[in-house]
Amino acid sequence: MVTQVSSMALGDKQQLEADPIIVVEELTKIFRVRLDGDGFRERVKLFFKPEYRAVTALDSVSFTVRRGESVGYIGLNGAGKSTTIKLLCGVLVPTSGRVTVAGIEPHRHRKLNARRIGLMMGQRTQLLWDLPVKESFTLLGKIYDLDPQTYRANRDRLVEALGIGSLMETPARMLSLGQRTRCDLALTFLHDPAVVYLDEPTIGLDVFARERIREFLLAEKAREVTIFMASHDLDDLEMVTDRVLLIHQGRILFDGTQGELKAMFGGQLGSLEDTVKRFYREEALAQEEAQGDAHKKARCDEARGCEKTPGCEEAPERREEALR
Amino acid sequence: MTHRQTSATAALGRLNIGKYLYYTRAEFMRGLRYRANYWATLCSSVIITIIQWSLWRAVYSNTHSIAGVDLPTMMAYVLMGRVTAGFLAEPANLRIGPRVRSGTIVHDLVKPADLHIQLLFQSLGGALFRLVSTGLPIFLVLLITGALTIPDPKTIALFMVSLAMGYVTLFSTGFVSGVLTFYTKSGVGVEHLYTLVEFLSGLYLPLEFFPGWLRTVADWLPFKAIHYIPMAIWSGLTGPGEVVSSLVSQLIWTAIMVVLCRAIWSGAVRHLTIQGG
Amino acid sequence: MSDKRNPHAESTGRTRKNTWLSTPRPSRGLSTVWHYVRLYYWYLRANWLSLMAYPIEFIIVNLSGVAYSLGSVALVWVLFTQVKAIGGWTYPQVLLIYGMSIFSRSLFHLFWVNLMSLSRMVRDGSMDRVLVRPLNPLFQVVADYLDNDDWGELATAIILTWTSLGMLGKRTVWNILWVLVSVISGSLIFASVHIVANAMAFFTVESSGFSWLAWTVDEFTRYPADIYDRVTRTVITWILPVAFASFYPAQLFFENGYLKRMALATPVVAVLTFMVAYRFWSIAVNHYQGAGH
Repeated sequence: MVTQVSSMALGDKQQLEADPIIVVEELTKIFRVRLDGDGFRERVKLFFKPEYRAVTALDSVSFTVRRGESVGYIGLNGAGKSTTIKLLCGVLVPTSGRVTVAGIEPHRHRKLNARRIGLMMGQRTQLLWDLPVKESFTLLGKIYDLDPQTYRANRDRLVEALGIGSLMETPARMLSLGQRTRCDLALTFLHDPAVVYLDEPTIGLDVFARERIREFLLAEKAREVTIFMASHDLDDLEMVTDRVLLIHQGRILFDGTQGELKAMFGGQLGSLEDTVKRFYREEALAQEEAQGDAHKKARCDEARGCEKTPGCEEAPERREEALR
Repeated sequence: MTHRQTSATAALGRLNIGKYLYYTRAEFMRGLRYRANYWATLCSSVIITIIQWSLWRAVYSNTHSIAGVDLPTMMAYVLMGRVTAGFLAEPANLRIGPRVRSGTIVHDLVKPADLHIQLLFQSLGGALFRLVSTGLPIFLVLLITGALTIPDPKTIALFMVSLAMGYVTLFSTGFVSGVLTFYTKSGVGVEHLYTLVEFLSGLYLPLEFFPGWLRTVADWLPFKAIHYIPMAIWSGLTGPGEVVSSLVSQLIWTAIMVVLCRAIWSGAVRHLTIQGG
Repeated sequence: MSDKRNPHAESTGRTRKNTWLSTPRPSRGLSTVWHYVRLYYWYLRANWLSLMAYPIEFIIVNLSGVAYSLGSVALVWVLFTQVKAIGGWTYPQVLLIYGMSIFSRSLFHLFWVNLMSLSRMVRDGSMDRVLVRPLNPLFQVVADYLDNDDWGELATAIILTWTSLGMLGKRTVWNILWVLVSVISGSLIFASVHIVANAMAFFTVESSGFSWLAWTVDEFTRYPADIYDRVTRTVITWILPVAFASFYPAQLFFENGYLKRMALATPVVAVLTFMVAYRFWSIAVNHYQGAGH
């Protein structure tokens, strides 16, 4: 309701706009994975003495999101998107580094954080499967302890915005994917979260359904909700987000506006694979250059047994000899 | 030769054991992956063994013989039952139902292998793993503590043969119930029926303890071939003169179950290939 | 600073009627308990409605369940057609212990069985959804589903207990109350064992063995605890105190009962055991959040 939005004092609003609501500093997450053996003997050995390897899902990730901003999070499968979202939601605990959402660390104040955020996962539904959609709303309203007026107001607003009024009496299992997604979105926004995380919200949807979702998200954005959306769909990002973060193999390769991203592709957004490849290539090149010097130096030292001098100021001929 | 006979001989010819043993090995190795599960399962088996041993000790505390069975024989029956419980426990029925429902059974039917035989060998891998990893330690402990004694070599040999037949019967029973599960479209009722099968197979009580009418029923069902006959041979419950006839009847029941299994399987395959998944 | 008194956190406005932070927080203590009680009602209601979506299946499953539990009693019955006493305990006494055991067990099964889904929830990501809600995770897991195919066992348990109490001539109001107190305590003890067992799902993907182990531990309680050897008896009295689910409380009904003081400790044991189990659960959840799976 328009009246409720503007009940936020205007002074606050301006201050809030500049406020960082999500602050991620050097966030690192390393998982320990058990090794699986090959062949009979190895497996028996590992049966009695298991071995592990470390998998770095996130490597010193840093970014800040301001209140009311809408951020797109792109990356290939396994790049670390879900891990990031779980860390932001307080589901996972960082290995090192820090994450702060609205001033608190999500994993330390799980319940308080839970009231302020909404999470929607495109492939999984919050709906109670065998029951009419309205029952899911009722239960969620009780879980978030919403007082009856707020609950009804929010529910009605969302039902109208997403056009799911006719679905309220239908059991969730009978809904199509598009209908389910809209209901899930409504449930996600029901308790008026300040920050909403969306993990592939439009996956599997047809073009029209996707349009509708995007329009809804834009409307919510206008209500000062901070949106953090992980998606494979670059059109989602184009329409809904102001800013794009690209993650690849646990590191942020790009953090900037859509305009900047587009510029790299001559004014059009390329495919996700192309985007990632391009950044990865640049990143790899940069790494090579940094390593290249170190490499040359090491070989030089080895060959000549000389003192390690920074930059290796030996005569060019000796250097060349060593490199051969 | 009729069509049936030629295809039967052809089937036997195609029975390349080596190919199927690969499945046995793979399933055996699968057990090596799950350490935590192994220890938990071992503890469970140990607990059940303790309960059984304590219970029967207490039951016999005031009498020497119940229904003609004395304590040492009863103990041998029960404890050997525990040792082989992992071997003679078969989730074969779990493999069929889900496969049909999800449609993956199409892949199996297309492969140049007989799914029925393949599953038999595959389950064998799991059964052997459980026997070695859980049954064997318990067996050794029971031997050391004197709770179990080793009978004469002839009995041991006959027991092994009986145990093998018991496995085949068990697998066939599980297979049949698995296929039936698909046709009745509900898994839950079949589960409860299975406990009845276990009861009739002598898993909880030797058939000697059944009241007359129940004993007759159990005698005329194939399930005693799974558990009762092998354990009775080991424990000496079957007198030396009756062992042979016991084995023969087990063989008959096993054969019946295998034929039944095969028939139902062929029927199911025909049904699937004609009607679709 | 990860401090609730962070001024920044405070300024995100609970003072005004903001739409996005308007949800009031329940204060500690009694009102939290009341909040959860009320919520439990809503969860129960949702479960009931789900159940009523398939009424026929409900009936079929429970009927076969009755047959199944009656069958499990058959073992004891058959035994007693052959002997007069087991380890010094008569037929009605053994029957009562058996009855109370499955009474506790079926109460546990009815309310707490969703613990068994923990492994699946961790695997398919439902656990993450649980952690994103402002509610106690254990409460959510347990309240999410009530087992509805075990009424058969409950019915059998009630019949057995009622019958054996009658056979002992102890069917008084106080005794019945004591039975209820005992089986509720017993179900709490079983719940504790299963909480610990299923919480292993937070440590490893292969936790089905532990779940089964918990059910196996329950089996101890079907028979009088003194048939077991000393070591076992100590374990099931002091470490995994499942013996308090049937054996010890039943002593109060037996003339030749002993350790009657132990019987009275039953509710206390139940509460203490639950507290220990909950502590383990919390550790397990913390580990999950660190390890993530």
